[in-house]
Amino acid sequence: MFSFHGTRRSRHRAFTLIELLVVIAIIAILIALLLPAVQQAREAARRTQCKNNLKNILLSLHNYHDVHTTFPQGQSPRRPLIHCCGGNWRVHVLPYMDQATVYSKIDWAGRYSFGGHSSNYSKYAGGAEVFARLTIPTFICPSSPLDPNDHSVVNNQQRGQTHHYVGISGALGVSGGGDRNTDYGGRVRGNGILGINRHSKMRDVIDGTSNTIMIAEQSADVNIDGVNRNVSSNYYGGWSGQAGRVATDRAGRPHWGAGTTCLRYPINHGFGKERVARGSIPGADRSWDFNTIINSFHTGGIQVGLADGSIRFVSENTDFGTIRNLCSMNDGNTVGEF
Amino acid sequence: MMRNVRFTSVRSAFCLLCLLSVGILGCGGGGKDIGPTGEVEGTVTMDGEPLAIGSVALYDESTGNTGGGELGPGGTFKFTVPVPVGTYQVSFQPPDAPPPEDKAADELATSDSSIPEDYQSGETSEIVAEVKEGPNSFTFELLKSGPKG
Repeated sequence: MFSFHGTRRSRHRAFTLIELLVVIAIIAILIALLLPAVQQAREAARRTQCKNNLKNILLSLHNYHDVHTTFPQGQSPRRPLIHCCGGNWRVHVLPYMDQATVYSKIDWAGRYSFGGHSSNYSKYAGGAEVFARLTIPTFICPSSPLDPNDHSVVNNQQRGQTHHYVGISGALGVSGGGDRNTDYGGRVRGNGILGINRHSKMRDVIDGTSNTIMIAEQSADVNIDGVNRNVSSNYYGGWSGQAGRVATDRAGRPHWGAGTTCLRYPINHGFGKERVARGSIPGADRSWDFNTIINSFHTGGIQVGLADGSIRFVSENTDFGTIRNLCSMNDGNTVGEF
Repeated sequence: MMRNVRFTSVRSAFCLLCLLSVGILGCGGGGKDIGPTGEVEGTVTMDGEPLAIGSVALYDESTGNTGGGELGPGGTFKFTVPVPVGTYQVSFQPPDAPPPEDKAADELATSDSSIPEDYQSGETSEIVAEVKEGPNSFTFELLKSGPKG
């Protein structure tokens, strides 16, 4: 009785309101299922792009090693020392990542400087103006919403690039290398590959190149007392080296610099809702200091480039001791699963 | 007719329920689990006198956990963020330095501060604080001659 009578009636009335609502509800469910998947697919694509960037940078570092039989210095002082600094490793790998045109503009024989006020360009020609407002996409993680030429990193009026990949100059708390306090509360230990005023060769990586992180992501900001601040190692615009008091290898107290970090705090420390207090992270609360935090906008961790040329995703919940061992090239500790 | 309406309304209610549950499942998760925490406050003195400028920082070498806050009048401090329970190295930093650009600022940052250098690093300060769950209160007594006397 129901089927015959009902179908004849509905042929007259077409769809009922309820039926339409049901159809809309089903479509809504399908969209609700689909939308997160689309967002995840987008993030996966961005993560892959980021991985590709890391691979290119690692290859350029390896090519540098092939040519010079050593990795570049993480941060170099300027020779001769005039106020400021030489470049960091990001400058030195430029010719090996198809950016020779940029590199050849740098006047290495002149009074170059890689940052600072544009009023100083006449004083320090051949550096900062080459990099002003330049953005090289290989150094930018596509998942990061931060301005790639962020002026909030302090003294970056010329809008030099604020990079999303940082060199690892070492790790505190594990053996290998001596400690040195920096002028602004940081502390560096010379046990990383891209060291301060220091060249490392492949043979120095005695823990094994597949157990040592050479570069890591630093593409997020840090929530200091409720204010998100970009304190990535990009002071002066991300290309600058180190301003030390003495410009010799393994000497002088690091004053300020950019491009490297010595691991002191966990991955994504103070990221997002996880607030840190002012004064609680010495060495990491200033873009020019030497213990800046490695972080990213990828969910739950960061991507790192190991010295053997491989890229790994490291979870923020990985044991801190394991990450310290990974950042040190000569601690002699065995590294577990990561 | 009545049965038909009742049947579809039950069906649509079921659909809405499914929709709701999908929405709820989509939320949640995220964030690191830092376990129990303690609130920290206290005072810092230098040779018996309150140390009113600078900051105090806690650092756990094995986990990388941190805590800290700025010193206020009378050498008191109160951390704005709770600290995970554990044993911490304590260090004391001179007041916030200006960005290094001009010579005067550079000299200010590198000049000798009132806090001896050994206190500026947790590894050499020889001061350890154990943070327990709930409120914690510490008094740090520093010496101008440094931790080694």
